[in-house]
Amino acid sequence: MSVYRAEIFETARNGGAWREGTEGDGVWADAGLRLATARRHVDRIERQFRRAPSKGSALRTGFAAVDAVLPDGGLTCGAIHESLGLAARRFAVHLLARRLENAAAPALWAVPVAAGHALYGPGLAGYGVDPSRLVIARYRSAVEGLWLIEEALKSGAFSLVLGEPEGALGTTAARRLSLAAEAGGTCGLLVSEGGAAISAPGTSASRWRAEPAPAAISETGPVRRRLSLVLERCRGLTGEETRRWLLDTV
Amino acid sequence: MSGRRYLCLWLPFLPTDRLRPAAGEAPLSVPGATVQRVGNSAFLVALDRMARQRGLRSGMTLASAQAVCPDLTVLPHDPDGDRARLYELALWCDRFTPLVAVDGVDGLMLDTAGCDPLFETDTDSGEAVLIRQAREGLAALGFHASAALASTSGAAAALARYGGREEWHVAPDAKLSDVLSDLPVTALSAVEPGLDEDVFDGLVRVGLRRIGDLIGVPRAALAARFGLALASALDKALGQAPRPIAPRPIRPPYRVRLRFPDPIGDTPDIEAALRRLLDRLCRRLGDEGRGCRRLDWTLYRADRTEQSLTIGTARPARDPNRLFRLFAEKLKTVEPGYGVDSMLLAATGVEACTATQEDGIGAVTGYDRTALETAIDRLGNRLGADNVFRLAPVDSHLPDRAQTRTAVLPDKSAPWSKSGDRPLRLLNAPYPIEDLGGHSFRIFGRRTALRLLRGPERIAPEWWRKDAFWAGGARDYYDVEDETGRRFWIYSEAGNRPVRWYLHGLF
Repeated sequence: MSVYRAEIFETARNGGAWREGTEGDGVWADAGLRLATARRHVDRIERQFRRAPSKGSALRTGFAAVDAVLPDGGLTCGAIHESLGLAARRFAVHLLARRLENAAAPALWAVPVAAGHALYGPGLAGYGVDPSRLVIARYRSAVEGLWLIEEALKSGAFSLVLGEPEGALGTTAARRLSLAAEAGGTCGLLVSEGGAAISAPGTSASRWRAEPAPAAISETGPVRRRLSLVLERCRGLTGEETRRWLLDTV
Repeated sequence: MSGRRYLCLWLPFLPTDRLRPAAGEAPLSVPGATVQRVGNSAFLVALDRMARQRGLRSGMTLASAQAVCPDLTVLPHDPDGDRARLYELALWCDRFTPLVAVDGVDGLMLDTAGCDPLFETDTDSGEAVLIRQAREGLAALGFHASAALASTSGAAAALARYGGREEWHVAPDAKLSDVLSDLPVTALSAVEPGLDEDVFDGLVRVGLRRIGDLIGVPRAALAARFGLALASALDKALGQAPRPIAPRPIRPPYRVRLRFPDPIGDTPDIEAALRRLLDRLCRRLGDEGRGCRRLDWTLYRADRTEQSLTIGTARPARDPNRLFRLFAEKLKTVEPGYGVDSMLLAATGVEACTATQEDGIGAVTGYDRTALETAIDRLGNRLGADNVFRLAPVDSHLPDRAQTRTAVLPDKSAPWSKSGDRPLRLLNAPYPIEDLGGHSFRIFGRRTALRLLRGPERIAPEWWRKDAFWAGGARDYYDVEDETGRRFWIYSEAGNRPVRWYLHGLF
């Protein structure tokens, strides 16, 4: 990026040898205008290359096969991700455990007040999550819930923000959450055990579908619990990679 | 020393007066005493008036005291509590003068110079009213007090304790040597607490019983024979040497007020006023190294109605910008009505707050604590403080008692046990499921074939606790899954026939 910037300012200073298509041809008369145009151009180039400013490294899923496929080697930070399907929570808790292993800051889970049985500490502990490092915030209405998730993402104080919105988000709401995640450099994960997509197209960096799979019971070894995971969409991933896994979990 | 006036209030029964109202049932017509236990025996320490009249003395064993006086009320000896109460009474005395000091372990010294005109009435001089009000006020709080007002603090201290009267009012122009001459020499111990008992014994042995006897003796001889402390005590009592008092600094409540010449109503004006209030309050908190946990902001409207907004913080805070942001959420609820006349910002729950917390150096924890605190405060103020929490483990093997809620900050807690497979969600009330035979159950109205993964795990109720939820007795828990892999945590009550099944958790 710095190469592009240097090049453009160089051309701008040299008196307009450099041409810009949309502004028409010719030598710039006004230095101010020239500079403004140069800035706009820098912006345009930068936008192509811009990546969300991430505070931590990418959030690794902990499954080598999955991480190998993902463009960042994990879930991009400073963006929103979705986990759908009947095992969406299990996958989310699995990601939460990985996150708390690698980040010092606590995580936040937004739950509706109405869901009294929302989270059970001993169960989380069994998945390798230290429940003491999970802040739980309860909201009374859907609007308050969105406010809460947005604030938590924006604050940058949490290593991971989990939320379970009721139903699909509108484009505006999804966009706001996405911008908040970018501003705070925080990874957001929207969880829905219903099957339908939560976020509007283009606003989430990845969408996962996690379904339960029958456990593998062998006569001698321990029970191996399984998860069927499908990567439905992922920003920056276009190839024909494997997007379907059957994974052993805790 | 002219112009100085000191009022000494002596509380001879401070320990018993302090404890008697709390002791409650004991009527004041019954003698009372505080008792200190040393090993196996107990000794009287402080006595009330009636106990003294009945012949009890400090240092008696409790057994012999109760032989003399079977109805004695026994109170615990607690010098720290006494001292704390004395400081509280010193604060109470702020109504008479800003300069109040604690005098010894049982007295208060008020510098009343210049304060007496405020109390003057048509019939009485200001000083007389002041003495009366101080004694009556303390009596209303349950404390008996002797008072002495004199031109030196030493004379006031000696007269209040050894004067033999409950009120002494020594006129400014009275000669102190005359007033004090009748007091016993032991009265000097009130002036100079360091004086030894031996000194007084020696004085009495040579026939010097009263202060008047000492005044005629040359100081140099006195000091040579009995030590410098005695001579200096005498000088201080007579006002020939200074005896300064150390008034407690008065800490006014943490409140700031702003009045407006004209009522204001525009949001920017109200914001600016709030900022000014916060700046003033936070500057004071910063000077004192303190922070507040709670702020109450009251707006007084022109039509004499008022509106209050309250914010709370997870840790003591004194950063005006941060506190302002917490109020900012609530600013839209402000209804100026006919305009706001004045505002009051009061900090409650003021606690010590060190600078490092403010700086937010997260080196110890590895993350930005300030950001976390700010975020928790913001969320808590909008959602309600009890809606932002962490889970903490409870030492119980019952699944429904294994966790509790705790505050997010401070972020230390007991470790969680990782043993046992527990579900991610525990239902508040177990959901009855129907056994259809052949490993099939009706769950949520649907026939589900289950496969056993783990179990049974027997969990018995805590026999020492009556728990309706566990009235069915011990349970056998099973970890099962259906053919698609959905996992359930189900149990049957071990003692009941026919066996009934319940769903208790979801993985």
